[in-house]
Amino acid sequence: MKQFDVIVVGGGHAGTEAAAAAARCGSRTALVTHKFSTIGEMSCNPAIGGLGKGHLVREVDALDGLMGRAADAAGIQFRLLNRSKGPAVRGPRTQADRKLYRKAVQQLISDQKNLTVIEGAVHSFDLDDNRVCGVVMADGTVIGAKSVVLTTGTFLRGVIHIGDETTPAGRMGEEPANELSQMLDEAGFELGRLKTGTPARLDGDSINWDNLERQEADVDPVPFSFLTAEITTPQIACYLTTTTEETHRIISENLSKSAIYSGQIESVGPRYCPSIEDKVVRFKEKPGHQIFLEPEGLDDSTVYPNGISTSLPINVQLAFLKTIPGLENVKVLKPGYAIEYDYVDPRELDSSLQTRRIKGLFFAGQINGTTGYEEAAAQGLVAGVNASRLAADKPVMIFDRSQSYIGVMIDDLVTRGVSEPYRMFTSRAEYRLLLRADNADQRLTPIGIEFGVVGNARALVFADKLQELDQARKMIAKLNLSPPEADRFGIKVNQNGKRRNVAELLAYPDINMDTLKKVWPALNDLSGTVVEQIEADAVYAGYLERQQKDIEMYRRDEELKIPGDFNYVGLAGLSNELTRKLSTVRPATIAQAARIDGMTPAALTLILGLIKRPDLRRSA
Amino acid sequence: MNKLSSHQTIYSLSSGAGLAGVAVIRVSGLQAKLCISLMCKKPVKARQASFRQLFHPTKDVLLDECLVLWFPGPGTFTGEDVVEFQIHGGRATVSAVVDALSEIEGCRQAEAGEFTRRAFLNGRLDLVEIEGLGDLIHAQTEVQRLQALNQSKGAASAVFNRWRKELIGVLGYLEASIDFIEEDDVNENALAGFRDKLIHLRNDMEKHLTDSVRGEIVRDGVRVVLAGEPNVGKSSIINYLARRDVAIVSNIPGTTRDVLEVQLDLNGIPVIVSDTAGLRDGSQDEIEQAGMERTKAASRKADLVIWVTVLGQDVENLLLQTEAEKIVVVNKADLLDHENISANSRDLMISAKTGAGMEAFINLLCERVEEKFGGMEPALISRERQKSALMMCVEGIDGALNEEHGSLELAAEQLRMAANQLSKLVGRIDVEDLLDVIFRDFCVGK
Repeated sequence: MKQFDVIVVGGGHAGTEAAAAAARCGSRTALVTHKFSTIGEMSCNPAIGGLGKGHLVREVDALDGLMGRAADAAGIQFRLLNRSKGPAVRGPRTQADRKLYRKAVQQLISDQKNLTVIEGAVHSFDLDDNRVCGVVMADGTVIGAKSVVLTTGTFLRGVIHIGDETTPAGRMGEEPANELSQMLDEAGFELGRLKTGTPARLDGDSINWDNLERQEADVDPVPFSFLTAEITTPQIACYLTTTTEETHRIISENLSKSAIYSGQIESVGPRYCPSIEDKVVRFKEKPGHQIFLEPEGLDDSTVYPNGISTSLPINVQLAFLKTIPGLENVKVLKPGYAIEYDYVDPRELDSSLQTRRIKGLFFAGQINGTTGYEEAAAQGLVAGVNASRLAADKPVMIFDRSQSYIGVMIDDLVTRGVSEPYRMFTSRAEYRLLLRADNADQRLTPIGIEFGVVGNARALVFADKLQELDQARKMIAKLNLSPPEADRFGIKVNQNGKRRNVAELLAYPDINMDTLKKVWPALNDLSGTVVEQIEADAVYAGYLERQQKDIEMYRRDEELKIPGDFNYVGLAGLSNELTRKLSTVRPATIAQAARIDGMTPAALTLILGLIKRPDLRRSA
Repeated sequence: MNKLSSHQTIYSLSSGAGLAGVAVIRVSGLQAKLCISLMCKKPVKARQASFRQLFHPTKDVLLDECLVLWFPGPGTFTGEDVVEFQIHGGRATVSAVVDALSEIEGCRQAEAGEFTRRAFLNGRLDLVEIEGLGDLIHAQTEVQRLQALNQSKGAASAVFNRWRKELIGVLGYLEASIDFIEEDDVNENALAGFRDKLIHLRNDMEKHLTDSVRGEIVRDGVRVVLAGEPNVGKSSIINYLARRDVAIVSNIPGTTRDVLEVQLDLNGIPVIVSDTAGLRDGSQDEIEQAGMERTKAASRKADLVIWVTVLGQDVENLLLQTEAEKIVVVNKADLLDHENISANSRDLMISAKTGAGMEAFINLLCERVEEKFGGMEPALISRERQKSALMMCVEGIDGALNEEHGSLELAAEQLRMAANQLSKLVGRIDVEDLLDVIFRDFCVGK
């Protein structure tokens, strides 16, 4: 029997990060997937990053993950979203060439030391009591491991819907994983059902591009990875079009044939990624809905029409597509579809992403009710590190909400569960001003180094950057101007005789580093990333202080641990509902308990009182 | 012993102690239903008054005939199963029933305030409602009652919740223009569109903050201070007002050395009248001097000062320093002849001894008090805790308004803080609330 430290099941965005992270940590790791050739596949839209999501990619990269580097290699239309807004809410995003992306990920996986890829289907786990000790393949062979990471995406009891046609499938044309799902069910896991959708894929050669609005890439593409110096992949444009009244009429008339509206699908889809049927029904007054026509690759004529996912029958899809400007003669390469799949209530997990039910078993990605490549990758990385730590009998790596978007996401999942596919937004992070894309490395790389998941090459680059930042800060600390001096350079500040240093000057909305370079040419020597960060710190200086105080309070509450065996049943003052929720989530700290939906201050006080006075606890 | 255990059902005499026609005994908890089945021979219907004989749970002894009201939880005051026994009010009957309840397993006497505490713990009442309930129980005048009722029935909470909802609504739009900038119907500069709404909101809050002074006064009572030189008859006036002897009245100057209070109900408005030590120069008596210090302190805190004088004394007294409105009355009118009274008609002439002019004096007092503190809607805010949270909320909104030309994420930060303050009053903020706004109002998702 083959024996590994860590087995990762699934070769998507969660699986590849998990496997590579475990291997970087030094664990002998196996990645089990149906086919090596689908590793790194982008099943939905060909894009990486965005608001909140771009932050996640930066954080994954800060921990030496793959996604940022792969996206930099495959990105064909880089755009920094919210460029006009403050640095905390800017999100890097790119369209990606599907083939280049796959190639980049597969290369990184092949190059990774300690990592073996095994092609095949996993049938079930090998269990010893309540501890996982390997996986059983479809052909009956057993592969041993100390921990197993399950990243099954939409494969668990996946069913594809097109009109009234249903096909069991994990992705279009790929078998679902029904036995695994059944096994989880039998093991007592709380399973739920979610759905997501995808639009038809179009033949770009059949689209009339002439009158469509172009959306160009940024002239100065901002890479995802802290290791990427420059984007060298050629950049292309996307195009915008919109649905018409006629489109809406066809959709309305055929609603009963849509899998979502005929009652065939009952599971919940994401509110932020509605199907075109949903949009037409819910926003009747809108004359048109925007569509981004996104090329899937540099040498691929396939176009992804972002904004019109659907589960209408093929003939209706074609009919409504032809009413859209530019698509009058469109050829459909693949129809759009909705897919339903099982997920496990993420409240079954602790903050290391290990299940409480089966020791050594970790979940990451859509199986936890999330959506999106970036969310999957971030969870994969955390699960991979912790699977490796567990196999080596070392303490796990836990992120908190004040540290990273990764921490926010995992805490949301394990504390609140999901009611729709979970996607990251910047508004989910209460310490948003601190958790920026520009400082992801300073927030996380040191932790990554401590936990052994960051390789030497990155550690060196990071050390260099820290040194450069340090020198820059020392240099600018000495530079200051009096108001009259500032005035000579055309810089307007209050004439109160107070000298202002660089940071104080940068806090003015209309002053940036470019302004100050005229005063102090030495500032020209600073690198772009250093400038970016100094500017961001200056803009938020006043707020960061307050947020730091909030964080101290939050950390204090995080220090108040609730024993794992704490019995909530029969406590006066706890409603049945709260008792049930607390027993499901089993919060590790008072701070986590406070975030449970419906928690009352009174109930918190009660629990707090009982942890501080354990003598009262059992005498009920 | 675990005071907090919910295994225990609590009971208590919930009507006032002492002789009464009817006494109400309330039981709350898991065993409430068992109490009925053990003590009544026949079952009772939920939420209906049933006339039943009440027996001892273990002995075959008839305790009383009573009305039984059965309220199954969780839609009850405490959120638990509740039963009320309306029994005859005699002391022996009450103690017989209470003793009987104590013999049922898992039942015990409730501690002070425990029914309310359970209601709070079970989420049946929020903090403001509880504060209001406390005030309602203690309300002594009509205006106090209205204000407390307004809070306890959730009217105040409803306003705080509405404000919070409106703030979160605005915040939702702000967040949408940060997180969903790719969407075609999301506005780039969301804040500008909400300027008026935010200003309206903060002005509304400001108005209630101003009102909070009135709210606190109604809750605590209008502070009226009787001040004057020694031996002008201040204590006689307070005795007349109270219709009982609260102050020792004598004609030895400086008899009142401490501040004495009497609470009055003037047309529904609670008024606390304080009798104070007379103010005079040159006292050598240490105790009297200390009393005068207290007089000065009381006058500084007063909402209204009645300066009592007698004819021939100065109306102004340099010893008294107060910002409060003053009413001047000339006491001991019984010692004067009619010609003198008419000569000083600008001052109110009274005689606490004969009662002459007192009616007019009380009417004037009522008038002034009503002018300032009555006749308006009940105030929403009546406590320091509520006031400071609301002040910080206004501060946050102002901060956001000042960010109009700055960063949207900073404006959002300020509004989030403002909404958090309102949550502190009643509930808590939640990012899901925000997302609800975003998804209800926008067609997002490309």
